[in-house]
Amino acid sequence: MDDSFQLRELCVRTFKGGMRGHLPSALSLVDILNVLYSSILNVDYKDPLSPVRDRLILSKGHGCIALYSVLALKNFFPKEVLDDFCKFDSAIGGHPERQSIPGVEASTGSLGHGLAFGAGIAYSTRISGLQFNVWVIIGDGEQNEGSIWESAMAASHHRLSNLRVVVDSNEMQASGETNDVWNLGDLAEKWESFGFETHVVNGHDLKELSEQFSRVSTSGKPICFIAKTVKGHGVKFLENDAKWHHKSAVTDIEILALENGLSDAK
Amino acid sequence: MRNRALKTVEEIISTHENSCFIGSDLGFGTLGGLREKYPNRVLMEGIAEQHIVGFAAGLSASGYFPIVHTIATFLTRRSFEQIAIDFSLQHLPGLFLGAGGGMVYAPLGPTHQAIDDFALMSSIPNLNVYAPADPIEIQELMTKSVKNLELAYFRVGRGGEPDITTEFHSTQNGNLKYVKSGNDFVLITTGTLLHEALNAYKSLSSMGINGTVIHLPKLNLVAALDLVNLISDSKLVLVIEEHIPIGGLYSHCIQSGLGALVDSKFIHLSLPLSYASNYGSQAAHRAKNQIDSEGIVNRINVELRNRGN
Repeated sequence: MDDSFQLRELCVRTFKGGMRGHLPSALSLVDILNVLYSSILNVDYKDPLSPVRDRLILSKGHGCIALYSVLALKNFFPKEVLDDFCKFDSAIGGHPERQSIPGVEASTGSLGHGLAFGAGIAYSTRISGLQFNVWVIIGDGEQNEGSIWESAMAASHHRLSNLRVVVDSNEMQASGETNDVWNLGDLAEKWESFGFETHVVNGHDLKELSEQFSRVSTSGKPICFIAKTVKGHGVKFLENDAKWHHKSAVTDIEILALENGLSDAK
Repeated sequence: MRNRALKTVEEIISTHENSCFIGSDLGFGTLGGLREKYPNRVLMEGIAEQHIVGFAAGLSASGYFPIVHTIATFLTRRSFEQIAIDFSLQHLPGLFLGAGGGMVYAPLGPTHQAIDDFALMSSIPNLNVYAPADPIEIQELMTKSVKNLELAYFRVGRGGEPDITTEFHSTQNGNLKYVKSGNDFVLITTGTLLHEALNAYKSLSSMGINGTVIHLPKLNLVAALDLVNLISDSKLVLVIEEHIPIGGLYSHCIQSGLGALVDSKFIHLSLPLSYASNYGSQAAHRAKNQIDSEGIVNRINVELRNRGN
């Protein structure tokens, strides 16, 4: 399962394909996705639309470089597709789009949409009787959106025990540190007060992630994992540097620095 | 009309096991019996329009056909992005019932007056915008829309409108309905304003002025060719709508090429591009803005006089 380095290489490759993107956000959540697609989600690249598959909604759609990289590594599509990131005729753009490429379950990008969408899918099992889990990954900055809390209340009210929220809690957003923009307070306490079973987890420890993500809801409540992460994790000079949140018109020198930075981390 | 819309919801829920209904705190007892019968498919959610529309899209992505109902302004303004991104962009079907279309909620003030719903909704790709004129029409159009698995918005009128579309002829594709007794004028309208147009038509007829009334229940599919045939011999064409002047029926007519075809005969009567500063009734606002039957009659008389008739 420890494809961490290879996945980070794929992330940089994707970023290089478009010479732009939200690379640090991707490096923040790539270990979470790695664990989910390696040992938690019931998904099969040979049957990507199976009605009983688990669904993963990347509500923080700007982290899509990580999603594309994991999906490519897990054979949902060829790795060469990553080189077309954001190009005119590409199947993969700067935010993920449902049905544009196998494995992407929702079109996201405008923050605050994915949890409601995922809650609707999770609720559908109550009508259909099918059994699957829905995972929604949100950013910590994304919790500024009021719609997140509307959906949290609704998911809790309906006791959607097959819904899992993962907060990629890197404590950074576009303008800087999340708590400097708006103090988010104690996230675990907050989600618990909204009626979620809540667990705090190291978002880069694959073993711990795997153990925690294997939990089933014993309380009948939806589960929220607060994954403590580092934005840009794996490339030292990117880590927690708000200037790198989104980059466009990237230079060859910067790409070289990223590749070297990654090698150093290895 | 709203009662018939809810009755139609009951029929749809009862006959289509893949359909579901989501209301947003619609009021005590609304669809209570249906909720008891189908507790998993008929939901009365909280006051959270962004959430309910996104949630409905999730159900739609799972193979269910959601009907979402709340006050038109909240649906079209607050959850505009959810309708656009979660439904339209992802090519998902669903039906939105906007209560209180136009000035129905005049006494409740501008926050509740859906004067821009046509413009907002018709700017969304893949979405059909309907403005039925009476109960029989909303039932027919909702049933058809669900059968065709459309993404659709319905402007729902106030209660008590009599069925009048039965008096109208329908073109083959059903996108246009009309009555015609002469070529002195043409009134093109949509939604419950058809009642005012028909009353004006009848009043003018009693004065010996005979024209045509055209109703377009599906806004963003102006049947240009059908319209041209009906209006080409007319002296005067008035487009009348209970909506701001941009983005509604008139804009659709112009975009479909009718403006160029009929040139200076085209006159537009609408609400102004502003929030209302009065309360009162829907009828009072129609009268103030001269889109009631009396205002229409007066305007046609003036225009015909100015044109030397």
